[in-house]
Amino acid sequence: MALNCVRLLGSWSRSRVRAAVSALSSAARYQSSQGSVIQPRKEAITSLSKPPWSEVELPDPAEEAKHHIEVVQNVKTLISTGAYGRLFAVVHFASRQWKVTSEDLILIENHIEADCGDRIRLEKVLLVGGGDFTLIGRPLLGRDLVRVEATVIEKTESWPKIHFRFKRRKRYRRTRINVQPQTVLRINTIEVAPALA
Amino acid sequence: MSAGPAPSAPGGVRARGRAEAGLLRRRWGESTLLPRSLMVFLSLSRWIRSRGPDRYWRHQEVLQHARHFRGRKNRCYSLAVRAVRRAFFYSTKAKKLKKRNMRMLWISRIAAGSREHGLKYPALISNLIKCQVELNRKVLADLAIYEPKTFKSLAALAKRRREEGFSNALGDGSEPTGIFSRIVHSD
Repeated sequence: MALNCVRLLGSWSRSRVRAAVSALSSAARYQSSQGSVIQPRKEAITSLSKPPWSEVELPDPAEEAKHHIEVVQNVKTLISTGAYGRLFAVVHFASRQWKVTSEDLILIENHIEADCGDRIRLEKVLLVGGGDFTLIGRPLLGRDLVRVEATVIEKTESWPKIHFRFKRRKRYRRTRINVQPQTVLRINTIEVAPALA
Repeated sequence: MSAGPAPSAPGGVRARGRAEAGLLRRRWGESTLLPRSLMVFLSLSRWIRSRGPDRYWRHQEVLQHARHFRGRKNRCYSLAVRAVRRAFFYSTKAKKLKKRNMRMLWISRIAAGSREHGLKYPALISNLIKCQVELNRKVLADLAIYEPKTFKSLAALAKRRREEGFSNALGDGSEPTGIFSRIVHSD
């Protein structure tokens, strides 16, 4: 029987064949002497036996869905009844993110195509929150959900900033006076509408 | 006024006398050709020469930037020039450092806030990005300070996404198909 097995496993390496043969022979010995089943080999517990994070148990999806619906309902009632005080919003404007409330002043280091006194709507809102709820956008919140309005108050220039490059012992000195246009915005209102899904 | 030479003609007596009196009465630097109302000091500039009229203002341009310094370098030009040059150079260099330092400050604040909620900074940031929440570090640090409830909800969101990631990584526990292995599963 061992010779037959060796012919069948012709493509294997020698060490494998020898191991197989020894296993078969030991199995044969076991079977002949005691007649018991082959015990499966036990694997040693190494660092790769289980993942490096602790066991994770996710909650039941059906229960979770119910919980989600409940939360959304609560937030909807809060918004529709107007049971919030001061709202804050995170707005993306002029390549920066600002955490903003009503009556806030914002200084923007560039020129905006709007005149003084114009009312502006800031459209890219990432997050809106009140005392009891927060709406987190992925990444932005819908336009029909939030409305942030601001007024352009002032359009000035910054104080003259000096950009001075100097290399010692090399007779290199360059001075540049930078005057940056600035705009000041006053955030008037942040409004939330109950258009949640 | 001594009398001049005896006049020959009766008509020019008074005129010549007046002219000679004018000659004698000529003051130093006064032109004899032009009348006294249009005096021109033609040779004055040869004796008093201006070596540059605006040294005071050129010095003031430098000293105005040194007025809040300590010691003599807020008053004396030669000392002030060097101090002002160093001040400008350091302020230009600091413009880049300020951005780095502010980011480091935000990161350490976010890390402190997330550890209060049982998460580390890399876990929080990576899982928020995976949830498509694109809040930057400045705003996250502000929320951690001034909006603790919002920050707690963000931390919970990140934690849940992390756990989902772990369970996705493990899959359903089956071996991949087509792989032959001699390892026997332990039990």
